[in-house]
Amino acid sequence: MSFLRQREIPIGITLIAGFLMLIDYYFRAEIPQVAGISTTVQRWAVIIAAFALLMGLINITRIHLNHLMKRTRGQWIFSIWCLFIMYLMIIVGLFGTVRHPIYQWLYTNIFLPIDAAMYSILALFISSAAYRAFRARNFEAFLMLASGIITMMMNAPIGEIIWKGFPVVGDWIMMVPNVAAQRAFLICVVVGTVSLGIRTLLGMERGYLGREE
Amino acid sequence: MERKGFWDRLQSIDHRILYAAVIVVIIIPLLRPLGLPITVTDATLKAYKAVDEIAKPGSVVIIAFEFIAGNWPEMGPIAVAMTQHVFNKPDVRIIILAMGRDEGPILAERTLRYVDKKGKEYGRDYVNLGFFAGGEAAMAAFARDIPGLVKKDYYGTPIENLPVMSGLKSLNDIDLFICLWSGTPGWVEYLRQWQTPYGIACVGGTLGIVGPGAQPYVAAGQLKGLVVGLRGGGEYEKLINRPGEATAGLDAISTTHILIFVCVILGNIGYFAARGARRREG
Repeated sequence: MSFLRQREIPIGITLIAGFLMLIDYYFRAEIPQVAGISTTVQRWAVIIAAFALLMGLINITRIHLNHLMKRTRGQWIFSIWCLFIMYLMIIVGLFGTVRHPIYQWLYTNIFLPIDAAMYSILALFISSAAYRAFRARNFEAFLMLASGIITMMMNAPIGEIIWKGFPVVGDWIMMVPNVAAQRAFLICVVVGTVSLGIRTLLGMERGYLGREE
Repeated sequence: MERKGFWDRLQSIDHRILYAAVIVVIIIPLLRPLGLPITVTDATLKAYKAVDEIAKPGSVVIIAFEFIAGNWPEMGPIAVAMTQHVFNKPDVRIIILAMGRDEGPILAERTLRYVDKKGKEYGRDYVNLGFFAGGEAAMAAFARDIPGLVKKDYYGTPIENLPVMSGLKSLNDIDLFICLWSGTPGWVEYLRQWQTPYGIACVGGTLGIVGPGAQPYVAAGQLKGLVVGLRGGGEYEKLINRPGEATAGLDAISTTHILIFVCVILGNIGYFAARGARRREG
């Protein structure tokens, strides 16, 4: 068993799979033999990811059963509800398919409005946050306030009734300063991702293996 | 305790009053629509034109539903309008799928309930392939070898029995990709696995909050057009001449935005007046 617990094995698998994907992505035309192996490995990934959903199910069940056993204060009652709804949807979905009227009813009349309500609460928080945060305390804050107001009014049909310039200036803010800043951000993210990828392939980044014992 | 002056109070209106005001200004226009005119922006027009020009008779269009139930109020109208536009086009094959959000196929079904099929038949003209786990790996596998990955549709029908899938071997056989996404996984993953390696024409629809982050892809031409938020949905509804939920909701957007605008102005008046008063007091 100690052989299977060695960290070199997953690092080796990562190295082979990573280089396989890289060679396939960049040298597909030059090395066509890699394509077949790469496609097979990608199909494996789809199957493994499906198993990950099962792992998620087991994990949620374990966590909430733990809360139930310990009668965690302010939590265990919600754990019962969570497990009940989760397994109800799984049972109905598995035995009656997702087109079953009960599944559709649960999704449309319980899950969808609750999820939409959670998301719509943002409207209240953002309104309050905008009112409190948008203060022209200095020049930078004024710029943020002005661009926020302009893009906000650009998105509302009433904006251009108030002033025809809102859509024009708003579009400029969106396509020039916004795109410039977003590109800089994206390039930084990509450079970071490349360095993380290289570190992972070389076995220097081991976070995905869990804690070292 | 020091009593707050008028200008200080103007800066710190109770959040409960603000919440109540927001709810009121949302409800009133929904009950009594104002019917404010909608002007179509350039980004939405580009998306409409791209769909109109690329989805020609004989073409194949993929629509990816990569959003969740909570996004429905904003994404639903966009999804309905864009899907309707594709259904309006004669002799176009439509493939619906999801590779990032497992709720995608259910929301696609919901979208299809609002779409006039224009005589298109399930299995012959359009199909819902369901959800594929694996994220980017699934995207890459689909792009490379469609029959290798897709064995059945969402309802368990083998793809050999679905004429809509005949002759589709890889992403090279697809003419247009419409990505309806609300976050990660979403467009960026498709960009890496579909748009960049295969050069497929892409059009997007996303949340108002995600829109600014996606603008570089529009500027670079990787997205031929982008429909953003409820406003974009309303504009698209206007373009396909089918007013729907987005058009109805846009009045509420106007009233809430005006309320926030007024509150921000009041807050700033309070801030500068209070600062001036403190300076005068020394």
